[in-house]
Amino acid sequence: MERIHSSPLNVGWAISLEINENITSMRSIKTTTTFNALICVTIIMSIFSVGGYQLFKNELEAQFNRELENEFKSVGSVARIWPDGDFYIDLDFDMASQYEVSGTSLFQVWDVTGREIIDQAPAIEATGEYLAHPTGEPLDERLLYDFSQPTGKQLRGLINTISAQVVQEDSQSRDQDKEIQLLVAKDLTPLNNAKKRMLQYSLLFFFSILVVVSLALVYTIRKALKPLDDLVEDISTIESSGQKLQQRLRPEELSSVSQVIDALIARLDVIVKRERRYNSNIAHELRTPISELRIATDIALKSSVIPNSDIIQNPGRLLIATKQANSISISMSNLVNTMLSLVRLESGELQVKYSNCCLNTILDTMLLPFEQKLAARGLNLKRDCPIQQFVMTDKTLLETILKNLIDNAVEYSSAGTLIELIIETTNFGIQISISNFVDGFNVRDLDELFAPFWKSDKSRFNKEHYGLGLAITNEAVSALRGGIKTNYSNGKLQFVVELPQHHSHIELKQYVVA
Amino acid sequence: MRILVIEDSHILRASLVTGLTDQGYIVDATGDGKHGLWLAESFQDGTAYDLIILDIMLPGMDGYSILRALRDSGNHTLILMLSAKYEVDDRVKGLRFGADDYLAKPFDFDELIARIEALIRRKGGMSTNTIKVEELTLLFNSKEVYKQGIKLNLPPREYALLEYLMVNANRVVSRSEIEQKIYDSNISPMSNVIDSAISSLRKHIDINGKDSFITTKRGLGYQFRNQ
Repeated sequence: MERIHSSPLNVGWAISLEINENITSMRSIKTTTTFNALICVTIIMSIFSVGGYQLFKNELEAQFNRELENEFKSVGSVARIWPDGDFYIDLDFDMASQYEVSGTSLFQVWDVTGREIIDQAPAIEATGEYLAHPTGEPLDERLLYDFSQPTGKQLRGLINTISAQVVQEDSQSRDQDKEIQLLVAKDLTPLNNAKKRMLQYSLLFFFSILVVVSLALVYTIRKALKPLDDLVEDISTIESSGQKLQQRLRPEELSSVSQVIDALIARLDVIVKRERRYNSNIAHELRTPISELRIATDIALKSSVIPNSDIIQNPGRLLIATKQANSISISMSNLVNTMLSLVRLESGELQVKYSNCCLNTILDTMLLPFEQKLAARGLNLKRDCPIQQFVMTDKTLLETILKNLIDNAVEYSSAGTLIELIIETTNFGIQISISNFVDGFNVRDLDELFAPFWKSDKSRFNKEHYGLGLAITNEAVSALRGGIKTNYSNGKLQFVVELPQHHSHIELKQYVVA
Repeated sequence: MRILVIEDSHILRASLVTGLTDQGYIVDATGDGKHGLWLAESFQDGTAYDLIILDIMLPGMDGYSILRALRDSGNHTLILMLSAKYEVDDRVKGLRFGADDYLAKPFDFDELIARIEALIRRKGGMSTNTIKVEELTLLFNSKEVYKQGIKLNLPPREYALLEYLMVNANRVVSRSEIEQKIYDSNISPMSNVIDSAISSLRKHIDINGKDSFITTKRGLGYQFRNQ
């Protein structure tokens, strides 16, 4: 079975969610969306309302003007000059009623020069309020004018020169038609009232629709954002890394978000559990020596010192306890130093210092302290390393890797077996392989080998090993951007370390001894 | 009282042996799990040890396995688990496997002694630190004996013998049992150490004109008179 071990996440990573008070948060999506939508709706509604009002107003005016033109034509068609030279507008009864005092229209006729009034509507005759000949610029090319009577009545008139028919017995006299200037005016009050009503209706329409659309928008946005609120609520109810988001139907967009959050929580859970296990292991590792220290000194004091005095009655015991305390303190100091090494590597703050290192020289130095233990356990170490192989690497980290792997092999190899240590150069960089026979190794333990404080022997029998060596090795390999593979088959446990050949950092040089 | 300490930490084991011996207990100790189980099982009647102090993480065989093996074989020796494992689950596991008590490291030696005394008392059917028979009073915690209100100056072995007899007052205690519990196993079978100790103890505790507190059951052993 083979395992590839990626660099583990740092162990000391406290997961802390810090709220930076200096960062001002954006306005809520709900507020922003509602605000922007309302502005858009207001603009659109304003355009529609103003446009609609203008359209209807223009249509009313156009209709008014057409009626005025028709009326002008009607009046013009009945302009007569009698044989006696008398001129008048020959209104029939139906037409005449609208030009009475109670009517809404007026007309007045000038001679062609516009100086002499030659006829007028009955209403003008009745009131004597003659209309002044329009001056100034007309409203359009049809010679429409707006003006007002002295009474304040607003009028719109159409003035034009027309030919009045001379009434003759024979048709030959038709050529003697006389030109006159005819003004037909209509009261503007109905038009102005209609326009005013149109403006009121437009405003009413604008505000009514604005209110209705706004309410609909707010409702829709709230409803659309409800799943987001639910998600926020679900997230806020999560109190421990072991929990998951509440399972419920979510919109497509939020479904992926909730999956990402669940994945994040799961990752956090792994980190939290690892950290908890790490802390628990530290506490556990410290409990035994503290316990030893406490009991050793406690019992020595109880049995060596006369109660309630400083008189020593058994110095021998006190001496033993002092020696034990000293031994424990050295052991605890080693543990703390080893833990600090691991923390330093895990923190990623370690500066990798590359230098040209001779593998054989490093190996010789590394193996020297193990000779006695190898002999004591009847182990045979076979090394295979290119002669005078130089590598550009961090010497301290490489020594750490080699020392821990060799130490592990020497410590846990079955007595009287062979340890093989092979170092070779590859296209990747350098490869270090160390294999040894281990009795009773559980293949499932391959996954745990590099976990801090993992030990094959769970007892505290071996005080020189804290289960940190392989964790440190893994971190050192990661610092050099390499990888470790482990393999266990036929009773043989193998570690293969690959350190990369990075041209900017590492140069492999082969020196041949002359 | 005979106690077996199964603890892999050499310093802790040695300290416990020293401290418990000072308290008048006969202590055997080992740092290996399998050896510990062998020692505990050596006496099939379960009378070899009054109490076993058992660590969990041991080389050879872990404490839980030892505990289960003992309980499965019908061994009901008092077992006090001693471990650096402090989680509730660990304590619950130990107690459910049949441990009588659980003490997490680091611990206070006085607390350990108090728990040992409490366990032994409970086994003897007593709920207080005091055993009183007529005008003789034994205080467990201070290891003091009073006769008619006057404190007796008993040597440690004789105190241990008296305590053992008083705790087991409901039955006859054999000579060999006293040898095992109160004295090192090295004493000669033919020696009269036990008789001498009983005789000496009687001189200390008996009241003139009244029956002896310790009754000799010929061919069987001794029994403390509980009334």
